[in-house]
Amino acid sequence: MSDRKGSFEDILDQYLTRMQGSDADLDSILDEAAKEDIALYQMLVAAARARQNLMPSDPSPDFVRNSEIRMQNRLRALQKTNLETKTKRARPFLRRLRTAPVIISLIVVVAILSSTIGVASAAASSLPGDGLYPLKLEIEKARLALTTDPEADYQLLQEFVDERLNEIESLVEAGRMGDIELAVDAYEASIGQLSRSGQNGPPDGAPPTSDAGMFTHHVEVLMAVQSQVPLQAQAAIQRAIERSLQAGGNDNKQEGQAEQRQNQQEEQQELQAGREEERQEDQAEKEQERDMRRVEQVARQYGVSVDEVLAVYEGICNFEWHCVRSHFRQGGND
Amino acid sequence: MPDADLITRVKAGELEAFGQLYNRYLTSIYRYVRTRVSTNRDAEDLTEAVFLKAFESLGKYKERGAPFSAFLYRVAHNIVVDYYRTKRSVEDLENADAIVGSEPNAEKSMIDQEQVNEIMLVLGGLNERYQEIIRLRVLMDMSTEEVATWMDMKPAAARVLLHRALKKLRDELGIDDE
Repeated sequence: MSDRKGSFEDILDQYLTRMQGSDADLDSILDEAAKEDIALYQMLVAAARARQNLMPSDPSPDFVRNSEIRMQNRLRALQKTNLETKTKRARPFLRRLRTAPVIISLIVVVAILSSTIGVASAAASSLPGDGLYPLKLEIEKARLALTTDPEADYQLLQEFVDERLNEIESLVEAGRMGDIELAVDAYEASIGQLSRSGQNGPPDGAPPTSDAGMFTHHVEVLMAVQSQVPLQAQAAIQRAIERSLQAGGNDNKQEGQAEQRQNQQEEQQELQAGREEERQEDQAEKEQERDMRRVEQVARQYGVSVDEVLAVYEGICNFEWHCVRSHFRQGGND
Repeated sequence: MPDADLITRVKAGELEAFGQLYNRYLTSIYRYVRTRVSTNRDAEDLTEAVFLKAFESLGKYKERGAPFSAFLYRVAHNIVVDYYRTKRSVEDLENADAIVGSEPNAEKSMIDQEQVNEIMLVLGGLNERYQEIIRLRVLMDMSTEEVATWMDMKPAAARVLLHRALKKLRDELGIDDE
């Protein structure tokens, strides 16, 4: 490897680049590598074998042609659904404003008691861990106390469970991982309240299939959220997922939910183990990078080749840097 | 038109702009997904799912120096992980044998097919990051710089990882004994 510059990794990388493309003369590249270094040659043979057998094809022309139209249609549908969801979310609040003057009065009363209307408004957008969050929960309780219709009660409770999910999402977006536990506690409490309310039978006697749909959606959202949070917050989100699965399963009375939960849990554990492995690998890579920088530094300092430094480091010095430096300081005559 | 401009237009509600992004990255995302699933059909379905998910998540996408292709790759990676999550272990094992090999190329002989299956099994046995860098750098012919961006690491670290991955692949294929 005398006529090339850089570490072994750099040289391997240069050869791989030469091997890319359909017009590369693979045989001559491998011959050249064999003359240079046997390990290099062997690794390139492994890469060539993988390329030859596993290189993915391009998408078929039919797929390319049809998929764009299909995609545009799906996107239009998705855009429409998103708009409808936003309108739906906005509507209940407006309806409440119109149809429930009592509630408005109560909120105003609470606001006055809290010295200012701004406080109630701020409370509505507060999140677990905020000073005004308990007030938000009190306002919700008051709204619940004012309804006499069981169906309206049930709908309110569903709305609160949704709100708890939004709070978890908002905390993650705001990077407030320390408050996730609190948010999950509140989420579980809300689901508990909804379940207890449903135990006397659904309001109109019909099975609450909308709950099953709601919780399926919740699980999807929570799993997406879970993939964005650091390890320490993942356990809390997992708790919320399990609670949501349980609530969805109870309402829908579907068999096999327990198994599904178990699977989810196992998958989650595997995922976490994988992440831990990745973290350890990252660390190992960083250490290796650090070592390589040191190797290059010592090589430059003492005017020797990178290979020589590596040989001393991995050989007589048994991975001790002070030994490597002292070896070369003494002229490399140990 | 640069990706950033198209993304701004999509965020403003212009679906056609997303169509341009779709055409721009369809092949690379499809090829990546194809390295990870057993049939063209699955790769096609998942590729479309990647773009749908990307469209949904675009509101949260902030450039932060990383190109849009890296964002799509992250979405694709997650979609494939989810896909295997829903397929349980037994089916996965069957698929592991059959990845790529399950849809044999008519031009490949039986012996070739065995070789494909053998290499696929060996590759599938390496740790996830080794597999990933071999897929991107070796099978997809991406440059080290692109791979580093997609995998969110420095190019020097990508070279080191690739070295270790190929060394492992060589050992597992028994090439050092040949």
